[in-house]
Amino acid sequence: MTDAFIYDAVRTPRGRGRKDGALHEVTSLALSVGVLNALKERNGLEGHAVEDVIWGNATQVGEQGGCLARTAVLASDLDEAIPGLAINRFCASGLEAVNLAANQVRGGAGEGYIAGGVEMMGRVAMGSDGAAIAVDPSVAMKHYFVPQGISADIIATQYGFSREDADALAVQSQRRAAKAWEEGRFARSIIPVRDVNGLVILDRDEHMRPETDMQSLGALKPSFKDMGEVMPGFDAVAKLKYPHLERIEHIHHAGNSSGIVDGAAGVLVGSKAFGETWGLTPRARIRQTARIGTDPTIMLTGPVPATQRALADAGMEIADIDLFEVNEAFSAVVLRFCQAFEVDQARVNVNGGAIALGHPLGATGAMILGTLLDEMERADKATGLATLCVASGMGAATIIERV
Amino acid sequence: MTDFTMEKGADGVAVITWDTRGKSMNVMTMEAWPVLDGLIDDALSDDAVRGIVITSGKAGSFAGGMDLNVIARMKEGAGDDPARGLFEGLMATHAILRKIERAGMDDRNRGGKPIAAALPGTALGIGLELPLACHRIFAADNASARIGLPEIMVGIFPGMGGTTRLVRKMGAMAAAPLLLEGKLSDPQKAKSAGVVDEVVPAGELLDRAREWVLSEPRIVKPWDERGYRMPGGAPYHPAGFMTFVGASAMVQGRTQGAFPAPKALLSAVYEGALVPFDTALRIEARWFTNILMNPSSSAMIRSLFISKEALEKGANRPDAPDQRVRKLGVLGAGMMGAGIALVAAQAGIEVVLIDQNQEAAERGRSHAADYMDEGIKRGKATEELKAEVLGRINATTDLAALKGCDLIVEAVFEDMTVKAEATKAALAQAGADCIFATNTSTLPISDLARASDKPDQFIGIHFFSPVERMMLVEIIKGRETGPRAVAKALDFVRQIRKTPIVVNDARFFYANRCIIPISTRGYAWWPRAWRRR
Repeated sequence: MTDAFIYDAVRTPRGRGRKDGALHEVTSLALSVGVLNALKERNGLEGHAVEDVIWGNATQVGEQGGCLARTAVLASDLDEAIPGLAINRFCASGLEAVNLAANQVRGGAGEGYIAGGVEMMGRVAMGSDGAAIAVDPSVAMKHYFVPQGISADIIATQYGFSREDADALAVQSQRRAAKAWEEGRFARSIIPVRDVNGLVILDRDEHMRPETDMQSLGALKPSFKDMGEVMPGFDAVAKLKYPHLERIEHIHHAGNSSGIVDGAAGVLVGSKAFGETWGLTPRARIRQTARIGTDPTIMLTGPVPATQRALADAGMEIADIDLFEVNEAFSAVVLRFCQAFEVDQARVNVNGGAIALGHPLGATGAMILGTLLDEMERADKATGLATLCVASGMGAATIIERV
Repeated sequence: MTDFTMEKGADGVAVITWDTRGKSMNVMTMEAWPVLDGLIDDALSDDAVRGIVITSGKAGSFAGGMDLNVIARMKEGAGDDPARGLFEGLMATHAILRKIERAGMDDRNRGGKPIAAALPGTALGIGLELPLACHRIFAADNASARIGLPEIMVGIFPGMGGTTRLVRKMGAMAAAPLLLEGKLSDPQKAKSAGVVDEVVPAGELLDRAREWVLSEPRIVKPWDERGYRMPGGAPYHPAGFMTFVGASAMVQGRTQGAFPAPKALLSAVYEGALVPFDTALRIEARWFTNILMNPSSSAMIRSLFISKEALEKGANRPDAPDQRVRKLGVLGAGMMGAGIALVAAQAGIEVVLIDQNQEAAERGRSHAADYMDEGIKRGKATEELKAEVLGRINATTDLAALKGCDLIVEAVFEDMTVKAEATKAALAQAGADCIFATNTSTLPISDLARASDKPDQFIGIHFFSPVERMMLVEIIKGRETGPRAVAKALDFVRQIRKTPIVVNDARFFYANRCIIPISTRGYAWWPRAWRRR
C-alpha cells in the first residue's frame, strides 16, 4: 500500500467568535480561500495538482452550506478541475478530512489532496443547522440526549474529576499557549488573515487569556448546572442512562471549556510520488487513522476507544507515542484521556489547547494535527497522536510519525 | 332519538345539540359520529342555513370525552388488521372534524359557514377536540366547569386532532401543560391561556354564539392561511429548537421514560410541526394508532379509569347496610396513625388518636396541624378549616375514649404480641358492633384476628406512606372476616376518597407482593450491570 505523507500544514489565527471578534468581518468562504491559496503558493502547486479538496465543517448552513468545499475551490486560485467535498464529523471534521485524504492516497485514488476545514462560529451559530438527535423525540428519548456540557459533567462525575482538576488544566493550557506564542512555536503554520488589499486583519490567536489563574477561574459559575438541575432538567435524563450516579457534578464553565472562535486550517497530503512531482519533502507519514462510535449520552469519551483502535491497528502501544494532542473541548475530556492511558500531562497538549486558543469546530482537527507536527519537529520527537471527542458519541484519531 | 339533533332557526342558525342518551354527561360513541357528520352535511348544503352552533343538551356540561370503554375496546373491534382498522377509523374522524373546520370553504378560503361551539360547562377530551375544530369557542362563565385534554392521565393522548390543533393554536410551549400533564382549567383560565375564545354569562351562551355566527366573521383558521407560522417557533426555528430539546428531557425526567403515550405525543407534535396541517393530522393518527396498539394504553385505561372508577363507586362491596364511619379510633400516633387520623378528620370523621403517652399522641395530632399549615401557606386551606380538622382529633392515652367508635384502626409496632395486646385492650372498651382493622403491611390478618373474639369483625386496612398522598388502600380479608367488615372498610375508604382494592390474606398481600420482587431483582441485577460498564 502507498504511504500517505503530510507535506504542509497551515492555519489561520483564531479570532474570538463574537460580533467584536477580529475575524467577524471575514466570510467563511474568504477564510477558506486564504488557506487554500496559502497551500498552493507555499508548495508551488499548479493546475490539477491535487485530486480533491476535502473540507470539514460542522455547521453546514447559510454561508457554510451548499458544499463550501466546492465553492472555496472555485473562489480560490486552484484549478476548477479539482472538485471539493464537504464533510461533517462535527468537532473532528478537520481531522477526518485529513484521514479520508490519507486513506484515499493509500488506496491509490489520487496522489495528492488538500484536507482541512473551517468554522466561523461568530457568523454561523453552532446548532443553527438543526439536529434531529436533539429535537426529534423518537431518537432524543431513545438515546437519552443531553447537551455536550452535561456530557462533560457526566465524565467528570463518572471518573472523579473535581472542579480544581479542571481549572488547573485550564490554567496550564493558558500558560502553555502563551509560552508557545512567546517562543514563536506556531510561526511555521500561521498564515495571517488579510483583507482584499492585503492588509493584515489578524495574525495572532485572539482568544487567549494568559493572566488566567485558579482564583479568577474560581469565580466563574458552572455553565450547565441550571439546565441540568432546573430547566429542563437534563440531569434526570443523564441519571436514567447512568443510574449509579447519585448526582451530576457540574464542574465545567466558560474558563475550563473550549473557546468559541473563528478559524480555518488545511493540510497538504500526498504520496511519495506527489512530493517528487512538486519537489516537496515529506514532513511526516500518516501511520494510522481511526474513527469510532460511543455512547451518545456521555458523548465525549471517544478519544479513548479511538486511540485504542488506532494503536491496535498500527501495532503500537501508548508508550510508543511521544506527543499527544487531545482536543480540549472540555477539561474532563483531556483528564479522562490521561487517566485512561496513564499518560503524563507533560506529553499532552504541550503548546496549550482549545481552552486557551479556541475550538473552531470544523477546523480544529486539522489545526491540532499541524500543531502536533510542528512540535514533533521542534522537540525532535518521532511519533505523535491527535484525537478529538465528537458530538453524538464519536471519536477520531490519527497517528503520525516523522520521516 | 340520537345523540345529536339539529334545529334550524328562522334566523338561519342551525343549532346542533349533543345529548347522549342515558348519561348525565355527554360521551362520544362510534355510533354518534356518522349522525354528527350527517347533520353537518345537511346544514352546510342547506342554503337557508347561514351558520351553525354546536352545543350540549346537558345542563352545566358540554362533554366528558370519548367513552373510554370504547377506546379500550377499539383495537378488538378494528378487524383482522387492527392497526389499519384503527388508522382508517381515526382518519374518518379527522375527515368529519376537518369538514367542520373548513365548513364548505373552497381551496382559496372563499365561502363557508361559521360554526361556533357553545360550551355550557365541562369540556374534556373529544369534548374539547370537537370545539377546537369549530371556528369560535364560547364557554359559559361556569366556575366549576373543567376544560382540557386529560387523555395523557390514562395512557393515551389527544388523538382526534386535539394535539395538532392545540399546538398550532397556542404553540408547543404553551400547549405542553395541557397535553403532557392533562392540565384542566376553569373557563376564565382556559380563556387567558387561549384555549377558548370567549367566556360569557351562562344565560347568554346560545345568543352570543348565534350573534357571532350571524356577524359574517372571518372563519379561516390561522393554519389554513398563507404564511402561517407556529407560535413560539417550529422545531428548527431558534426559539422552537430549545422548546423541543427541553420537551423530551422534561418528559423523560418526569416519567423516567416509562410511559409510551407522552413519547408518542411528542413525536406527533414534532413531526406534525414540520408539515402542512392535513399531513400533521395524518401523523397524529399514525402515532395515536401506535398508542392504541400498545397494550399499555388499554391496560392503563382499564386500571386507571374503568377499574378505578368502579372501585371508588363501591365495586366488590358486599351487600350490607350503610357502613360509613362516624367515629374512628386510631391506635398508635406514629407516622401511619397520624396520617390516618389526618385524612379521616379531613373527611369529617371524629377521630380518637391513642398512644401510650400523651406527648406521643399530641405529636401525632401536630402532624395534622403541620399539614394544614402547609395548605394555608399554599392557599389551599384556611385557619377555620385547620381548626375544624384539629377539633375532630382527640389525642389521648385514655382507651375509654374509644367508646362509641364504629371502626378502630390499629397502627402500632409490627409485632404480633404488641399488636395482640393493643387489640385486646381496645376491644375491651369498644362496643360489640365495632369493626377492628389492622394497618399491618406484612403480618397475616388471620393470625392477628386471634386477638379478637369476633374474627368476623376483624380486617386488614393497609395504608401506604405518606397516607395523605398515597391513593391506594389495600383491604385484606382474613379467613373469617365477614361481609360487614369488608363493607365498613370500603365505605371508610370511600369517605376518605382513596382507591380501595380488596385482597385475600396472602403473604405480603398485593402491593408488597409486587414491589418486593421488583426491588429484589433490581438489587441482584445491579452489580452485574455495574461491572459491564
